[in-house]
Amino acid sequence: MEQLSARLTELYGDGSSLRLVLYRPRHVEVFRDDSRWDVRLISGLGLFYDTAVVTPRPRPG
Amino acid sequence: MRRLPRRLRRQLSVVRFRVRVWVFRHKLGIAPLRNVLTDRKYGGWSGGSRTSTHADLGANLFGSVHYYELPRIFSARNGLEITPSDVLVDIGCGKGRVINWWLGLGLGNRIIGLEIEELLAIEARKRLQRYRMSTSLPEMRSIRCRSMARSSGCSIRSPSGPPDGRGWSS
Repeated sequence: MEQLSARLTELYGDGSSLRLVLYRPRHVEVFRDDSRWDVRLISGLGLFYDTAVVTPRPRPG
Repeated sequence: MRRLPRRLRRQLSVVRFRVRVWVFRHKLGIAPLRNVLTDRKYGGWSGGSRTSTHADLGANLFGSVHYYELPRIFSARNGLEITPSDVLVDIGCGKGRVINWWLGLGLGNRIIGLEIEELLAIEARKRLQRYRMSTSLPEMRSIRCRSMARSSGCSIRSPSGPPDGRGWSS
């Protein structure tokens, strides 16, 4: 997942319109720890889900 | 045993109720029936779960989503309404249930499935190719991601051509 995050950042991390939906808490953590991404949790999907929408933050400058 | 505080008992009863609702929806209710009927419409069963053979690469257990959960995720409320210019990519598409649902929406968007498990990817591609041939659905490519964690790119396979090796291009 870390490699995926890095690759996605390389390709889409410049403020593009990429919207990434993550289901697993472990995956959400990867992007949450990375300041280049905005992570917004979606609730109400059930007991065992930790779903999030991840979007790239625009790069400064 | 000491009597539990009223607040804790209330919380426990809420949890118990949620568990019952979850069991009813997932195991006994309309959700499994809907899964079977919708999968059948798209060429066969797309559910189930199994362990990944790529655990060394960080791949998780393969497990399928219920159809009723998807409209809740891809909603305007979550900022995930699908627009005509969107390219829809399912990373770890498994047997392709999410792809089934996207196709069922009747959108003209390009749809891409990525799956690290070769057998699952072949199964999904075969099933959805057959469907595409019979109904002229939007262009659909099947992408097999090889060693995602080892290399930084992906190999792409299209039913209509050889791997182009361009990685994540859309």
